[in-house]
Amino acid sequence: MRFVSSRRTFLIAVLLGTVSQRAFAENRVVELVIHNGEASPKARVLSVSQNDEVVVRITSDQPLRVHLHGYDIESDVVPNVVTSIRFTATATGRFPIEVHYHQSRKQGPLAYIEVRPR
Amino acid sequence: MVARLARRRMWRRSGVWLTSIFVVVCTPAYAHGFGLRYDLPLPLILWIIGGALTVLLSFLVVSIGVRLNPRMAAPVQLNLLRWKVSKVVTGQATRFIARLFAVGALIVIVVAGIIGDQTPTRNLAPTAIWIAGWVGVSYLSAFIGNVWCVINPWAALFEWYEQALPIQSAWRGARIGWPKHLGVWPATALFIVFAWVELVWDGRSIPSQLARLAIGFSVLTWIGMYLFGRNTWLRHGDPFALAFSVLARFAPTEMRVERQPSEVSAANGGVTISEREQRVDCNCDYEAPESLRRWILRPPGTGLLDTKNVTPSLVVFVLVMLSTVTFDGLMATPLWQRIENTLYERLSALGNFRLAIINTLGLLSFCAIFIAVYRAVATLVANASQKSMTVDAASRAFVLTLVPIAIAYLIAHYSSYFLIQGQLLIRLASDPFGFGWNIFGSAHFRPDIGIVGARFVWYTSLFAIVVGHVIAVSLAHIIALRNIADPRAAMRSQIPMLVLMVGYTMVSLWIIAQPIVE
Repeated sequence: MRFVSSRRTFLIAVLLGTVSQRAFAENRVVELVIHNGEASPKARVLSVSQNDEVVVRITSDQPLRVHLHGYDIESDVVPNVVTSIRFTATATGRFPIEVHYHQSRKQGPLAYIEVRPR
Repeated sequence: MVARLARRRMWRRSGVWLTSIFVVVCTPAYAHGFGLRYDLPLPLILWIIGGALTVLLSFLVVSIGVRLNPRMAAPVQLNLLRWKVSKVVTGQATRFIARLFAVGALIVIVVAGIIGDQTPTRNLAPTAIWIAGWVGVSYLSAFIGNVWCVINPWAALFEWYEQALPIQSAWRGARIGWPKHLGVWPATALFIVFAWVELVWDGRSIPSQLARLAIGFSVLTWIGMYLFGRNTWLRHGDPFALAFSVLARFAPTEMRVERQPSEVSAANGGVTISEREQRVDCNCDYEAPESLRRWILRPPGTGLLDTKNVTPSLVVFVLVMLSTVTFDGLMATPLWQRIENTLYERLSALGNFRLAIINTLGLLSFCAIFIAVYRAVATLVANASQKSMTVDAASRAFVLTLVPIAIAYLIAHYSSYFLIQGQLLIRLASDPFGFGWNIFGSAHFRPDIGIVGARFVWYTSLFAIVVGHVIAVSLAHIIALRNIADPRAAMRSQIPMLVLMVGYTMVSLWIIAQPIVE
């Protein structure tokens, strides 16, 4: 009997935990401005929390392709049009956003998306 | 006509060159061989807890250890071969299948590197070499046993070649004896080359370059085996066989061959078990009769207490190995990035190769500093030992006790990288060349980057680093008590060693608390 009740408490706790995690998840919008294939400011760390709904709004003065590593999202950016990368930050970690296939020799990532555990 | 053909050929060739330059420029800057790491830095509070625990437990070990009798530390050992299951696991059939698989893998890797798609993640070669081959086999060596001596594909191929020859053939056996003063210096030099390839070289993630390197290494290995004999080369010249055998000394299992009874009685009458059994480092002497083989289960780390075979060159090899592993982590820290950027601007005269030059100098000087610090500590230990140990003896006796700290760091630094990037193998197994094949139906597998959460990685890293440190301090203490008759002197001799180990552990903790920059 005691065992059953403790298990029930545990299950409720887990359920509450999951619910509250979902409840605390936010919508996060971060901006990324690219000039001549480089972000300004350079290699910024954009911090979000686990399970957030993240939108990265990218503008560039040149056509290029950006790649968010880890979540593995690629997107073509057209000059002067806002391109959005949307994802749910399920996995924690520090994920670089890089330029792919651009003429200028790139110097490291444009920015990092840092997904912190709740 | 001829001129036009020649021109067209030239164009085509320059096109190939341009493509390869494009590939080099557009490949993301991969640290440590290949693949990105997504680790979050260890939070400050965990770093402080780790540091405090390290110092506290060090003193606890020393204060308890001083009352121990070193003879008591003789490890408990169990022969696993008394069970049928372990006889099958270590039997000839299993060994043959494992070697066939390893040789097949080597061939597929080389072929993939040459003819496959040159995008690093679409070709089997980079992932198989850096993640399965280097990190994976390191983990197996440290936590299971010296598996490399079974699956080493180069050794397997050479052994099969030797077996195919007639018994009397002049092509069998060694042509030259190993010059004694060479020790393991050739393996040390080759290991530095390997570390340079892993950490500095531009071509480390380019499949075709890796394939060429693998072919070069094969030729070198087989020439070495042909000249000096297979096992001699594996023990003295092969950097991987030696590196994995050093890690495997920590492992809970070891394959041993007991000497012939006649040899034992001739050598010494009343020898202990550990002295009667001959250590077999990298050949897993399968020619020995089954009745003489032992597969020992022992507490992890106790294999590092056996310091009889440690030569001065092996001391340097171990230190080079440990320092390159730490330098790998150091290179991804903002501190190193700042040093690199500063030097990059100052040394503009050196042209396009300056980044490689800076990192090469960094690697070599880090090794040199590590060796110098260790030598200084060994001198202090020898001075405190009341002439029980010379500086050389002290540096040989204690070098292996640093290995658990390095293994702990291997877990902290690589485990999430291994678990995340290693999943690429599932995809690559179905399409090793990047031709769009789907042999096992797993070609469209997407790696799960959430397989381990940041919190899990933090706590395992912290746990591994603290436990590794405690094992290292305990081992050093046991060795001191064995070598130095007066327990008080033994304890005093351990103060410099303790400072070194705390420092080494703190550097490991500090690196994993730094944000990774690529």
